[in-house]
Amino acid sequence: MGMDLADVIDLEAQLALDEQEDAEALRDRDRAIATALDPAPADDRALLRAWLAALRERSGGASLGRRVAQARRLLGVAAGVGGLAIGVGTASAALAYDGRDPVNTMTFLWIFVGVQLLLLFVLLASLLLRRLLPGAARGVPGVGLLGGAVRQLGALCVRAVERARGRGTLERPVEDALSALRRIRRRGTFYGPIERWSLVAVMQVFAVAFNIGALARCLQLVAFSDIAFAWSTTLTIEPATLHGVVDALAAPWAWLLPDAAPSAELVTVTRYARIEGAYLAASAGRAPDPLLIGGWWPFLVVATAFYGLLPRLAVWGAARAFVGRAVRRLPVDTPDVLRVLRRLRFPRVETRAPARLSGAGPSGAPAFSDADEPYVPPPPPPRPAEPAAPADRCALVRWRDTPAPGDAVRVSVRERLGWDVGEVHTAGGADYAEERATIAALAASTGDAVLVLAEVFEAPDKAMLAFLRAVREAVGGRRAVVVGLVGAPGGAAPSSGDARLWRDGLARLADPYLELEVL
Amino acid sequence: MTVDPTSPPLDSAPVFAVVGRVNKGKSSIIATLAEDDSVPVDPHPGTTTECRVYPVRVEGRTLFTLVDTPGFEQAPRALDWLRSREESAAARSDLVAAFLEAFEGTDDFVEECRLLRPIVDGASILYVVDGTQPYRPNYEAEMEILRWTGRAGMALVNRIGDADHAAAWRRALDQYFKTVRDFDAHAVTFRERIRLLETFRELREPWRAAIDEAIEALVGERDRRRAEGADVLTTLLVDALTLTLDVTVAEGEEPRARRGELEQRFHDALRTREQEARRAIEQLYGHRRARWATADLARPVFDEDLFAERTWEALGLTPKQLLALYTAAGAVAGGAVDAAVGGASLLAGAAMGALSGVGVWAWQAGRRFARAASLGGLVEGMRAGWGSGRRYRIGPHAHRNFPWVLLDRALLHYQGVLARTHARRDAATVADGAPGDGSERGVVAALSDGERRHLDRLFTRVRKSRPPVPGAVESDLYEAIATLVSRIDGTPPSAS
Repeated sequence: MGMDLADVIDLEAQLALDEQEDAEALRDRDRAIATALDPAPADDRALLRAWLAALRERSGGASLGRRVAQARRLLGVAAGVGGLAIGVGTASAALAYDGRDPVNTMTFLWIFVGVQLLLLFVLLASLLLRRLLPGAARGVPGVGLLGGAVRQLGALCVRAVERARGRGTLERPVEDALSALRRIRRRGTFYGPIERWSLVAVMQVFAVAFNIGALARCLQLVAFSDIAFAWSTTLTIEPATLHGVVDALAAPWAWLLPDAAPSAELVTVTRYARIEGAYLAASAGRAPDPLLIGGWWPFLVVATAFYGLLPRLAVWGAARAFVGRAVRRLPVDTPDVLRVLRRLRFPRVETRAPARLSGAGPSGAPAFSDADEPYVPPPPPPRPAEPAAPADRCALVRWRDTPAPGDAVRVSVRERLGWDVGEVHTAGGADYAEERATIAALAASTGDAVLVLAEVFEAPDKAMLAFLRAVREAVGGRRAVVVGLVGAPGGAAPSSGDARLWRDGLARLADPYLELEVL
Repeated sequence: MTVDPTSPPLDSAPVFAVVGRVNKGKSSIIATLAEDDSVPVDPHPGTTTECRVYPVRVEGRTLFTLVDTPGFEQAPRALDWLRSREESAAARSDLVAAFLEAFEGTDDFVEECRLLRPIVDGASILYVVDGTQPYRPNYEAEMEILRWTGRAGMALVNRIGDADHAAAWRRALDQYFKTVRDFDAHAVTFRERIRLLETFRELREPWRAAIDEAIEALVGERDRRRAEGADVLTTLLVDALTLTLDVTVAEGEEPRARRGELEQRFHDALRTREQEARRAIEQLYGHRRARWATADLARPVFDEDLFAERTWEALGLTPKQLLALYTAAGAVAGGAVDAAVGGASLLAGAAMGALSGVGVWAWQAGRRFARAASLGGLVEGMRAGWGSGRRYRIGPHAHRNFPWVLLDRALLHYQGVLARTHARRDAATVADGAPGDGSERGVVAALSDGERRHLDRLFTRVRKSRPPVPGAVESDLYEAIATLVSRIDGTPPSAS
């Protein structure tokens, strides 16, 4: 089901309100609505209509669109009542007969056929002109002036509203309505046809009512009083000429309603001269045939219905159809409407962490900083009270499958630390028994320093720290223990950043005789 | 272990525990998969000390959960404990549970207990290794423990870096995991992420539906972001092209004396809008902490100011492309004159119009932007002011290349945001999203002539509109920008 005018106005009003709202709040609101619409309509307009219905339900009371639709109906009723009254009044005036001068059918025809056809022509011509030459109407003298006046009036209203808003005296509904109006003006390309045809429709309600009023009054006067008809004109028109005109006017219905087509005799005998105060074809100023001169009324009634009422009914129907079509075809692919549709169509997807799975750890662990807190390096290890025990040889431990030291590493150890590499052990491998054996071997050794060879891509993690702690316990207080950092085979040498990261890690042991060396 | 009451129960949806050695990129993978740049990623070991859950939720309903775990730190010793109590292969998973029972809540094996807990509770395993580092046999202790849990698992070879040892890793991993995939958490594309999720489906058949639904939702989310992104860029262009600044100059004061200050204010307002649009795009893609500045840019213009001379040299349309647009616009205007006289002018109008277009191009192209803009028409619309001063209106920006430069910068930034994964903690550069062809210019210079003409017409319509810009114009511009954004994104939209 598509949208109607009330929906469209509500849509604009809601979009105007939403411009001030937080995007997340809007998403929450609309996701809640979309979730309740299960399944959501596949058609965008139907979805928007359902969305508006949900919002109306939430806010309660009549929405702006409903109020405008109601006002529009009231305007239609007012136009109808006004048209009816004016039609009755005009017919009364046109058919006024006090027994002296008869009713001039020429006047009646001019008012109820001529003027109406002329106005209809102007309306259709302006609509056609707008369609064929958009913007040309503004160039027509008067139209541009009128448009300018309307714009100035609008600008004055806006300024007045802004002042009222500044003073805080503006009612919220009025403010909402004006916001919606501003948005509608902004989307003028879309709403132009709706505004135009709505106005045309209201005008036609007036015109239809006018004709109905005129016809009703006419029939009432015909039925409940006697009216003498005549025709008179200053122009030199022969009865035959006039008969030709009325005959042509009556042609559309003459075949169906022959009595509603004036005969040549009627035209001839009802010529009237006010200066004479008599029908020209009559003798002694008397009507030639009282029954005959009343014979104009069927023609006048049918002519009013045919040339006044029917075209207006047709234009009214067309205007309503055009309004409906324009509303139905209103684009829903503008960025702001698409925003709404996205909120309604796309579910909320969240992937970020809402909470931690585990709470505080057991006492003493972990030693590292909390995940969300910036890293704080540990204090440097205490300075040794006395130098490390001298050594000229070291036991080498290959940490976590570090490749066996080649000549380059042995030379580097000699140059940097002054040690020859003695026994080689392993630790940190998949088999923990090896590590236990290494600790035992180091505990049994005497005098040698300990060099733990680690690859740079490993981390000074708990296993490494636990091993170094065990080594210290095994070899005693002053034996030098050095972690030798080497690069990966074929890879770059450890950087200063790597070294700093390792030093920070080892500093947690607070071992004054533990050092790091980049080999 | 205490479980946060707000976290979802592990047995309600598929759960994948991301495990591995410390500093091997588990958190990077989580950050990328969960699009969460708040995941702590740090070279210091032990950055992740607790399990963190990253549920993928649709409308609050968890479809699957990733669990970031602390790294293995003492796997050989833990395996030694397990092996020392092993009675039969059938009882290994029970033994792992017994391990947890023995050590949870103590100071020993803290990390191992925390990482094994979700697995024992039913999570599948995503075992992460660093493929840029050589394979070492000691990793087998971790893999063996994971095998003892009896849970389905797959291995991800994280490849952040240049060195490549993936082949050796694969040979080892293939013996422990039925699925092994490469994954570069710093350079993975959206499509590759989706492919990885598709692999998750294979781990446990009952989880397939949930993963499929999650994939569909993530693809939909990508579509939504793309549309929102186009919306943000459209709004930026419309705002920037219609921006005006009203100022009042005191009686007797020479407006030209204040020109520099007014120009600065006007440009600052435009800069602010550009910055706001950038933040909106970053937020849209979940980059809440990313830094977008560096001195080492492949295209320095990305980091330059919107109105820097280099920006205007490098971005937007080339002088030749601008000349073509000016000429075409002039010819169209002249052609209207030809049409008005019924062709009696023998197309002289079109020719004159084209020539005048060349003239306007030469007039604008030969001047630096700032002066050209200020002298050429930034100060306009003088009218008798209110009170004691005169009122001037500055803007909108008149240079024809301005929207192109703005659009180019916006698209380059968008490209960078798309290409940046949430695992990265370095400053972003435009090179992240650059095509890598060494081109000196931005995106718009590569558009087809038809696209350029279409966009130029839209820019002209926007500029001619008095704010607010008509919805139809904005709608057309949105459509054009959405096309460009889709092309940059590259991911085909979802079927829905």
